[in-house]
Amino acid sequence: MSYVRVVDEFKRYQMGENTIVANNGITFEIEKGDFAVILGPSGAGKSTVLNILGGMDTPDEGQIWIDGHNIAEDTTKQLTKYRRDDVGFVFQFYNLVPNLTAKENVELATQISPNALDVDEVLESVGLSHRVDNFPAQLSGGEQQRVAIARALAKNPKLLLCDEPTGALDFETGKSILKLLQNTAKETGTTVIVITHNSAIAPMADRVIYINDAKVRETVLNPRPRSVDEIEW
Amino acid sequence: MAKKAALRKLIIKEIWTSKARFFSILILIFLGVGFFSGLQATGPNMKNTADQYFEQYNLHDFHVQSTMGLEEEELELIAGHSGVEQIEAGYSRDVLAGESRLVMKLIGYRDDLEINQYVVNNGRLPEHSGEIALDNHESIRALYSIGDEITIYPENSDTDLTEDFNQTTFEVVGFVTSPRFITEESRGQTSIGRGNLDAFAVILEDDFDLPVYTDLFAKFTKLSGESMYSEDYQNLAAQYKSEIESELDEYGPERIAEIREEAEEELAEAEAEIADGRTELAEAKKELNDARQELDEGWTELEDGENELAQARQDLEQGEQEYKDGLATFEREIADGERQLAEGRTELENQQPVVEESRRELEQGEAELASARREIEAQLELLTTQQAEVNRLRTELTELFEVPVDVIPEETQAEIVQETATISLGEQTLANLLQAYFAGELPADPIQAGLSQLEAELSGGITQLNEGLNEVEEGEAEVAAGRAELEAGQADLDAARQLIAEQQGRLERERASAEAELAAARRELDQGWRDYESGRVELEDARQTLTDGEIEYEAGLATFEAEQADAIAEIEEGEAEIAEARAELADLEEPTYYSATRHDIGAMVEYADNAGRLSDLASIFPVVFFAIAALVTLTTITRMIEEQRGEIGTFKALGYSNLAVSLKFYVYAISASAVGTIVGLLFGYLILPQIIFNAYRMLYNLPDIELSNYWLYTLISAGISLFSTVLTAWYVLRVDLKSHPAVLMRPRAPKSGKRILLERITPIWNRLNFIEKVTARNLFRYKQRMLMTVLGIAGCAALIVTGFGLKDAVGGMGDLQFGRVIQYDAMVILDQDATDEEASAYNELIEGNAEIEDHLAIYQAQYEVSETGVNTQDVSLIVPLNAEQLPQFIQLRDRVSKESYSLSDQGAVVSEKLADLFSVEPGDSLTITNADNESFEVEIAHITENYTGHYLYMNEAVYHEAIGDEPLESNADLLKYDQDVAWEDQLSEQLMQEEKVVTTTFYGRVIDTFNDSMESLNVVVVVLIVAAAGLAFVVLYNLTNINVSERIRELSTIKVLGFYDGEVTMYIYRENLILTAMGIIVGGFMGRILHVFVLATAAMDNMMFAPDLHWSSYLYAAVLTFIFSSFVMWIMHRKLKGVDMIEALKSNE
Repeated sequence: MSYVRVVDEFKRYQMGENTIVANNGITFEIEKGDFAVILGPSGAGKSTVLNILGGMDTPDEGQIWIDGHNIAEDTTKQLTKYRRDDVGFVFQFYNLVPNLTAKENVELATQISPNALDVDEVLESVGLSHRVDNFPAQLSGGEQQRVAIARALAKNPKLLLCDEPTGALDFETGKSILKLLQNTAKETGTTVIVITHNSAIAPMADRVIYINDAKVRETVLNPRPRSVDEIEW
Repeated sequence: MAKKAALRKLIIKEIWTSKARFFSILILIFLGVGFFSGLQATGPNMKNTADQYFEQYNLHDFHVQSTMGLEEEELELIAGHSGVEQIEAGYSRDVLAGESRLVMKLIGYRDDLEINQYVVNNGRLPEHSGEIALDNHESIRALYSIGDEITIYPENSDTDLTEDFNQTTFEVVGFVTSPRFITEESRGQTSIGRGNLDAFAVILEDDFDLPVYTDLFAKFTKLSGESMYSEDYQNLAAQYKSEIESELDEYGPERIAEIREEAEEELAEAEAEIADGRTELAEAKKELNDARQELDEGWTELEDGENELAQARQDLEQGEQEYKDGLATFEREIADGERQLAEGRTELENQQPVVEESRRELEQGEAELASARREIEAQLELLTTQQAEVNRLRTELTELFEVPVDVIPEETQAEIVQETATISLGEQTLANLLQAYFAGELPADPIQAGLSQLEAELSGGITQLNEGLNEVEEGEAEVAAGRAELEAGQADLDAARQLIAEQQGRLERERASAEAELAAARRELDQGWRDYESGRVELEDARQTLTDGEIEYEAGLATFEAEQADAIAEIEEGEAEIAEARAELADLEEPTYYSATRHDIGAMVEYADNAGRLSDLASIFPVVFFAIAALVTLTTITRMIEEQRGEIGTFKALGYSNLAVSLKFYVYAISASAVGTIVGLLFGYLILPQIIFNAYRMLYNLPDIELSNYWLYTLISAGISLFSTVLTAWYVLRVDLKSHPAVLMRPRAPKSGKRILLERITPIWNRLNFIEKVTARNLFRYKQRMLMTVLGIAGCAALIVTGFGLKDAVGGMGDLQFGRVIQYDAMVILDQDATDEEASAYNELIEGNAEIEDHLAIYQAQYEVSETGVNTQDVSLIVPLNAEQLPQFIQLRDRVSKESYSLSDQGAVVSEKLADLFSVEPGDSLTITNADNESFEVEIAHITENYTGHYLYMNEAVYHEAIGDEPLESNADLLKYDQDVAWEDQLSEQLMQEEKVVTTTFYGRVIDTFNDSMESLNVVVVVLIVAAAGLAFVVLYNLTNINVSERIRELSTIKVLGFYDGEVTMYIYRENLILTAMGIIVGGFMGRILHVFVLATAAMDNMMFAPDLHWSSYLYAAVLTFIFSSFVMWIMHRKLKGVDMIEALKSNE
């Protein structure tokens, strides 16, 4: 049984008279420790999948199995606990708390996480040991995203969910972030799921799930993913 | 226009999406405007209300009283003043009334009196004698209802109310309110009882029996329709007053002369009455004496009568005996007489036949003699006649014979022939012969010779006859002698018979008379017996009458003796009174006139002061709200503009003018403040004045408040509210509007995090856990908002502190005054004119009551203190007769230092508020004035804690030095005990029966009523708390709302990170709690300042609030503020739960 298994997941939004189907029977699996990429154009429904996977949203139908537990049936509180204990998020716009230093932003996560890692070590691992006391405003975009990743990793999550983590970054920085994520998956065995519309990233993933028009079009397993350095876009 | 329509839509949408902010501004403006306009309007409204009330019920402008009452002359004098529109005279008198001896002012009523009309709250005004309409005061209504009887009593036993009134018992027919009496606490001063009127009451003017008017009320033409609180009114009234006063002062001496004259007349009348009384008394005594004498005489007479009766009986019995004897004698004598008579009669019968025989013989002889005589006499007579005839004829014939025969007339011849037919001459008759003569046949001579022969024959026959007659006469003489003898015998017999008959008659007569006599005697005796009987009955009656008379007399005597004492006492009293009246008359001074305008009535002025105080309050409370409203608007608009930077940029880029771009924000600000202002004005003008006025109505008897609005306050309110919002909007927009659209369209660089000061204090910072550090940093990140939150919360807390502090201060005043200052439990007002016996009876009652722990006799009197610029104050002077005991009854001490004072010879001790009002320090002197307008200077030694009323305490030495030499007599007694109300009722009853006691006041009840009346302040507290809650809520909600919306990404982030809902709420609310705590601390200080300010403005002249704030006020403020804060937290918690974290995280700002 796969670590992550989404079965026949539907998500519909009511917009006035119309019902918009964001996810129309999504089904896929991701193995533990995979660096998975969910790829699709804007509005394909991939963010919805991520939100549902991260316990921020609930599907209207279907099962979401995470490590043998179907979170689709969880209550809000259980979902919160799931997010707290098992999920790390990285957003396109970092979402750091501007009034907290880099370290404090990480601590924000470790404060509540039961199996948190050492903050300094995590920050070091993302290459920010020299900027721990800086406020987000004092950091570059890449640095901020590293802080965000550090914050996600510090919880020692089962799942690391990244929503367009490079979307707001320049090419080089984006690459370094992707590298960090890939390494994380490799080195810590954390299952990393990255959502992007940038198909250039696909080759570096262990598994690529193509979503278009609210459906999974194709799932491609990449037995030999490429290093980030080899990728250009 | 499409543009405008679009804009309008935009604005409506904006308002709708940010309704919480919009309403926050609106509510704060509402609170500010509401309180400002309301408090400002209440003062003028209160004055208006009073003015309209006074106008409607025609309250006098001017009131005159005099020490001697008032008469028509004064009325006319005042009516003559040019300003006077209307003047009326009336009667009033202060008395004690009812079981509880309320001090009551009775006022005369007549339905055509126009000045000072009454509001009939219940029932009606008196229409008939003996009816009364009572004061509508709550305390009176609690005691009496319509149909009850109420009796009035004089202030002391020397006064007779019936002199002044025709009725002393009245039936309650209604309850009324008078514009003359507007304070609830007291109906004014009086010279009787405790010196304070409890109530007024209205009776018919006809039920008064006063010789002079007691009051004159006037209205002035120029003052009608004028607000009594206007300066014009005050000045004009003062001018009229001084003019009329000087006129009255001139009139005084005239009046006195008049009074002396009248009084003398009355005294003379009274003396005459007394003399009459004495006379009557003497007459009564004399009547009694006469009655005694009559009775005594009656008794004597009765005795005499009885004696007489006994005598009569004896006489009667004797008469009875005599009667019996007389009857016997009579019977015997009658029998003797009858026997003698019978013997005489028998003898007489024997004699009679002898006499009868002799008589018969005599009668025979007589009869023979008689017949013999008759024969003789008959012969004689015949012969004599013949002789005479013959003689005549002879004569006649002689004559005739001389005349020739032929001349003799035939008739004469016939006549003579006829006459001589019977005379015979020898064989022939003469007639024949004559015939023959005539015939001439015979001559005359033969005839003559025949006649002469005849004559001779006749004379011889006569002589023979005479001789026979002599013989007869001799026989007759013999017979006559025999008859004489017989007649004598017969006479003897007859005499004897006569005698017997006489004897018989006499005997008969005697018998008859004796019998009559006896019968008379019998009748007399019988009458005697009857008389005796009736006499006896009469005597019995007389005895009865006398006995009755005696009883009557005894009764009369008893009555007389009983009444005599009273009558004498009365007479003596009357004499004493007359003497007194004379003395008084001698002492009579000129009348003093007291005139007063409305402004001389303390209550009226104080009411205006109270109304004025509201304006003072109006200047502080709304400032809090307006300031916070401005701050909240600032934050809100700032936030709004920040959120819409992009939009502003876009509009600017599209070429909209600055004005067009900013219009939306101005309209937003203006509509919030406009709606807030309008609602606030409605609340301020319509509701708040009523709430406040209703609280004041506990102190004043006034009709419902007259609501009105004031353009000035409306403009100020609108101005300030627009200013505080629009200006803020302008201030915030100013910066953004200067920026280039490009800058605006870019997201504003997030406000960078900063180290805060606290971090540099490592020992503290390190101790904080992570969340606390975060909180701390966040707190200082938004200083403006922090300041505002703290201020808002502080305002809220301050209002609550003030509210509860006010309640404590006012409510606690009763406990302080009656618990701490006044240690005694009851005050008994004593009649100084009571007799020694009455006084000792009272003392026995008090001393004999084991429950009464102690008592202190005092002398108390009412004085006034006045000074320009300060309202005239009433002060109670208290002189304990035993100064050492005073501390057990009244605590004299400094409020702050708690240093206790005792009364010394150095001076008096004055209550704190009075000292404050007149700026008196120990060592200064205070001028007090009594009811007779005499002023005294009193040295002040100490100032003592006191909360209600004004008091001046001094010992006797100080009194004598400062006020009067007369020895002081106690007129009140302070009692101390520890008992319940039931016991007090019992004591009260006992006391009321004492002549010495005038009234009793129980302080336990005073505290209760006092506290009850202060309940009204709860309204103020509630208003303040509601306002505070509104403030706290609006501020917290709005600021938290802004905080949340501003930090929504942050919140979403931590939510995504797995913070539970509670943790999320606390993440942001921890700051609010800290700010709330800070606000409470700041609010505590602010509240204290506000409290002192409010107390200073709200305190009335005769009250002092303890300015101490009880810790509970702070506690309540803290707890309530936390509750409000928690409420906002709860709302926020719900809101945060619903935050869509995905949405927030999706986009860049």
